[in-house]
Amino acid sequence: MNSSLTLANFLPVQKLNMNHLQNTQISGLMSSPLPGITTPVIPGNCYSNMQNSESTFTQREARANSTIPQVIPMCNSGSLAATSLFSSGFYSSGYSPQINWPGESVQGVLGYDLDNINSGKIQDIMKHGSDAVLNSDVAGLMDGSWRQILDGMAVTDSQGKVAYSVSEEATNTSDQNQQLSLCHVSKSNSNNNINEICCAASPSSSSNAAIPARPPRMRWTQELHERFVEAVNKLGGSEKATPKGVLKLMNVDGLNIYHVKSHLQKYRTARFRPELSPEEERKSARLEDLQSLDPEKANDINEALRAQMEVQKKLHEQLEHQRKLQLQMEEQCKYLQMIVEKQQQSIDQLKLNKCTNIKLPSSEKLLTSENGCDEINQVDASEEMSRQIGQKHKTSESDNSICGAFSPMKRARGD
Amino acid sequence: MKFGKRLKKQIDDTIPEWKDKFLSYKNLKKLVRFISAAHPSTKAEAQFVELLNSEIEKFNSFFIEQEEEFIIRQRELQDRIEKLGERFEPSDAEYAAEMAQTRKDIVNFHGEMVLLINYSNVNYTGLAKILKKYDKRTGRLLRLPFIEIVLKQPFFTTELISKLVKKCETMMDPIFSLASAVEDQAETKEMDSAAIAEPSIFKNTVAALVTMQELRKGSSTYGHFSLPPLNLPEFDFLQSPSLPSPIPIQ
Repeated sequence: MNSSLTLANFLPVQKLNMNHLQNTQISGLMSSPLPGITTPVIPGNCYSNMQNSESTFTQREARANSTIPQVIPMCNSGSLAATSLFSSGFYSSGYSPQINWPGESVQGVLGYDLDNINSGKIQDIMKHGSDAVLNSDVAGLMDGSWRQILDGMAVTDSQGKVAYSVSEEATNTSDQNQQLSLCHVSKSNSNNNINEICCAASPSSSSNAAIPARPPRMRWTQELHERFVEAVNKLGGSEKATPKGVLKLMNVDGLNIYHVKSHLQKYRTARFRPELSPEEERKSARLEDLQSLDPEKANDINEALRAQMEVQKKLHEQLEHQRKLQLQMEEQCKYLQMIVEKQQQSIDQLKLNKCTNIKLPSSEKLLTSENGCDEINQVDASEEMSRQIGQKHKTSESDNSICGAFSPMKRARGD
Repeated sequence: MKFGKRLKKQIDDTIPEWKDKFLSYKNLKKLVRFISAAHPSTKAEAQFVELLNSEIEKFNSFFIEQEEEFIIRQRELQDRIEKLGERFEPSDAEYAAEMAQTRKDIVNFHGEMVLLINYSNVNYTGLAKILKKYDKRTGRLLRLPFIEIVLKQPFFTTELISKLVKKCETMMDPIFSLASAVEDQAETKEMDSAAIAEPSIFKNTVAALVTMQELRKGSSTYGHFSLPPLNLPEFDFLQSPSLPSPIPIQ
């Protein structure tokens, strides 16, 4: 079993960076849960993996100082702690100088003297399989069953896509790239103007230059591709065109040569072997065999294709529908949570006011928004909640009466 | 476990290259169980989050990659269709063959894109379920804030793919109407039905629909906030019982 660990043990183990980290925001984080740590502006990209207003005290920032993921100490402050745990889920463009998840640095990580599990290792395991875990103390510390589970987890696709790279362009272009939209429409923009912002990067904390931001993955759009094709054609076709030439001709800020290079490669593949995925190779081979005239068969085929289309369309329709519902659900949960928090604030306030007759509801009716969203007793919970909210409004007017309160405590329901 | 089984079925039926890109649902579930209920340590939570994040990275990488390819392929298909008229005479034998091939390609391309959206959805659902289990197990409130972040991830923002799908459908109309015109002279060799509807695409699509139907049938935890049941009466061949739905689907 895992020994109990204190927060202190959870500090990043990279000795190299310990000092640095302690001097940076990280240590600041220890004291205050959600400082105004903002994410570095994502150059030329269109989404932020993290809501910037939430904390993202991010492994990314720690990583900025090394190419090795580190563990960020967490601050426990109730539900906010949850938010504080999120790493940016940041990943680099795979097209940067192919610095693959360096084998040496993995080794390096493992070579450190560890007292505790560096959860960065878990990520290593995910990427490289259990073979990456050579260090015995890790194995020893980890609960055996955890190890097995992790072994079983799919290795992250690491064809250089999860490369950590340093791109100077990225760091320098942080603010200028506010101008750019290389991505397709986010909800804010309805027009697909290539040269406009759609970056979700908000408080553009200019990433401090010392932080080599891993360039976020580039997301192509139809318009961008159009521009690409034009450029390629001007340069004489996909064979003749060079990444450099195309890049120049395209003239899009934030686009780098690696993006173009890989896109060009995909483009060439698509052109020379149209619609060929491995299973389709055999289909195209058959095309050459076509000889017989058979209108009936042709009909059959068309019918089959139509049927396939129907099913596909249906699935698409349902997926869209489902997505809408899911988004709505989350909205509602968020709303409920907000209400719960407000309730809690009021309760706290009342307590401060030394309301003498506070009566908490019996333990069976513990409510949180999570309970509210919980499918099991949803209907009951919302009724209860609205009842209590109504009650609260009434009682708050009279000081001496029972302060109807419901305590958003959540009972753990483990086994 | 229902979801787990369904997910597995979908993975089994999916396009081979996609198989290892899905959520490791079963393993994550196991992990949650191992986390102590009584004293959920922050370390454990961090590790859990780390895992989830790496799963998300996996999804994002794959998704964006596919998206890029689809953008390229779509345009190529478009070009191909436009040039089809130019290259051949409609009465040409080769034309019909080319046409047949193109039709097939478009349908399969459409299917792949829809499956990518399905991929996104399935993984999202799995994540949501895992998070819910985690919260239930530990009494923590990880789900809500985490899901908020997931909603903004590239792999979940499928608008572009949807757009491509719709575009594909419009591209198809002329192709298929032309099809009926030249059916008499169609020169297509007999292809087994397996080759007609690309097996894994079709199979996966069906599996996906069935999954959706099952998941929304009304489970033990069905409630106000569950998705309404899915009625697909016209798809009886999917062999799933359709249940009366309290909330009609628009």
